[in-house]
Amino acid sequence: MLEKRSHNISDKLLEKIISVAYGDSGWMVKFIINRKAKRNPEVRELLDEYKLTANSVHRLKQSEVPESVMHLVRVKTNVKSENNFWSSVYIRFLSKPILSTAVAGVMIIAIASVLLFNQPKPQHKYTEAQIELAEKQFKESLAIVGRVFSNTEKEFDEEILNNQINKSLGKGFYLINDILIGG
Amino acid sequence: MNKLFLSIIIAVLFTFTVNAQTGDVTKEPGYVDFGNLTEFENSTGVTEVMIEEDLLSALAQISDEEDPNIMSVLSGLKLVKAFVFEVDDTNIDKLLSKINSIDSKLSGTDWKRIVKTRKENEAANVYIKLNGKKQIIGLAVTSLDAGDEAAFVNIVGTIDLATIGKLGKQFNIPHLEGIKHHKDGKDEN
Repeated sequence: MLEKRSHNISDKLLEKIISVAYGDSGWMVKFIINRKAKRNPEVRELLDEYKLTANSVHRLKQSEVPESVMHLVRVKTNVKSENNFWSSVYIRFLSKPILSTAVAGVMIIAIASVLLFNQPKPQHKYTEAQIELAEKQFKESLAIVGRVFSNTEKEFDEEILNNQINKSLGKGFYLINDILIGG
Repeated sequence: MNKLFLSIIIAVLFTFTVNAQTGDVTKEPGYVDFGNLTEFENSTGVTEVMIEEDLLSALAQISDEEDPNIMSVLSGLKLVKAFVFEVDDTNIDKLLSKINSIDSKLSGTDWKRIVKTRKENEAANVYIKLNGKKQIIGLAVTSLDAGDEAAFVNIVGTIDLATIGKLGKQFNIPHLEGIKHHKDGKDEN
């Protein structure tokens, strides 16, 4: 792979291409490399090849590497296996650039929301006179509503119950008297 | 990656939208826009009341000890708005027309008219708005009595209609005084 590389591709650029191919880069690097790949066929070719390799690597199952070999690797490299909760969280989530960006994004939103929602309400200081006036006006407003209710009730009692229903009932009784008793 | 950015942008926009909605009483479902009433401000007796949530809660704190009934009414309220104009021959037609236009406007919505009375030169309408829990969250009253006064009242917030009616009768103040009042309890006269 490296043999194909011309002198135009620097080591730094190659590192970035590899990290993009393996999905280890941040979004900015990914964006830059993808843009370069569109413009430069050599970069495109390298990126595609490294992506193919990366795909093959990612497809490797753990069972394909026997535990005895892994144990030997750990012994030789003097790496202790860390199977605690936080290391697994780190390996699963935070070591991946996309997920760490997502976590950072969520944290920014959470902080922004807290700052926006918890803005202290401007505390109005009212004078006694202002509160007294407000109380008076509140009572006046309720009085208007009360008056409309009272008038409606009054009207219902006088107009509808007395004049219309009672009058009709009265007529009814008169008719009954007239018919049954004969006037 | 694009999905991630889209999610972040949506979350941020949602945060700003929710934040923008808080504190604006005109966005409350119980709020009624009576339209332009300035044309009636030239009548001899005018009362404008606009008591907002912070002043209502200040009022609730002092009412707590004096009258628990007022406190119970005040505690859920976000706005009390009232406009009262003295009725005379020059403005009666316009006031009746305003009452009718508000009636048409509210009739086409989910406001419920619970009282409608019509007599010669007299009119009164009471509307309520309910939420999903069948609580009254808005009350609007429009009334006109020829030779007396016309009133436009809107109470926004959780409303106990029975207590309001009872208190209203208790406070039966015969005639409103000519106080011109604007936001936050500042008396202009």
